[in-house]
Amino acid sequence: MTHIDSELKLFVFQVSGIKFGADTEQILELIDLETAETEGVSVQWFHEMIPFREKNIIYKFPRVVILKGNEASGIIIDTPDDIFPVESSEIQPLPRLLEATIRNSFIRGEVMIKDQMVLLVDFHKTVDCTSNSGGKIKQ
Amino acid sequence: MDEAEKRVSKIESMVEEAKNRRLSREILDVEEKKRKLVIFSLGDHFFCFPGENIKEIIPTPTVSVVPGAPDFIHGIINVRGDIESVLNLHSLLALPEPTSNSGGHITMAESGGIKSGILVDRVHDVLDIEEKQIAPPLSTHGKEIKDFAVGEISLKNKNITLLDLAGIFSRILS
Repeated sequence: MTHIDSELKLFVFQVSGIKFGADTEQILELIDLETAETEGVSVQWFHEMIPFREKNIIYKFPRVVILKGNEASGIIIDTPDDIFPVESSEIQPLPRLLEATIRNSFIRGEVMIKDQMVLLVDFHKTVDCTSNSGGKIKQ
Repeated sequence: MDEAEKRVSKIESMVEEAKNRRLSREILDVEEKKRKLVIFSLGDHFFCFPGENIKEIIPTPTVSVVPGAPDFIHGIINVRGDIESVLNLHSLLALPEPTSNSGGHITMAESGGIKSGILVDRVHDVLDIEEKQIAPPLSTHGKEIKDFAVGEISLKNKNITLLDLAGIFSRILS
């Protein structure tokens, strides 16, 4: 019988003012852009994988998330916050109307952390995306 | 006519009279059948939803945008611990988006077990309207409004379009 741990450790970051959370079990490490470039890691911008309404997304504190089992590529996220433990009972699915119409399968649900909405992202569902660029880094 | 017969007749006539009273009350009830409607505006347009579909009206809380959501879903909100979607009727009914950021209200709506917030510019009134005051929808509406309009009410020189919430939800889910 498979035991499902009732607690999730959520790595929270922010892109364009929206908070996202990902399961730390999917993440190997967090590195800066220069390191990623030096080590020849191919990178994808987070906002190119999840269609944002805004065209121009400014990254203030970009970091590269390296996923377990996929060390040669990384996802550029912005403004890493912290790791928060979340009980499974705190997680809510997307509202029915949104679940039926959302144009990506990466956002799976949401959770409230410190009175703020955090969208749950499944990084495993993002890795098949093709590499893109186009984000800007705030100087 | 003996006394017993007289008594029955009187009872019968009184029962008959009571039946007639009940019937006329029922006729009156049918004639005055009322519907509660929640009247709101989107820009210059006035609309309403049946009152039984609207659970509460809340001042606009912080709406979290969800990337990948269609334009007619404004975002999601936290209502006492429950996460609900917020519909943007401007987009769904092909109306111009509001130019000023007036805040607006969110009406929490429910139909067929589906719940969602609906962003409106202003909630004007909650009224009891006689069924007979509800006319068929105007043929001059645009296609998007026509798709969801189920009636028209004329009130204080304003046309108010009655929208079919179940129809809106079912269109989105399909």
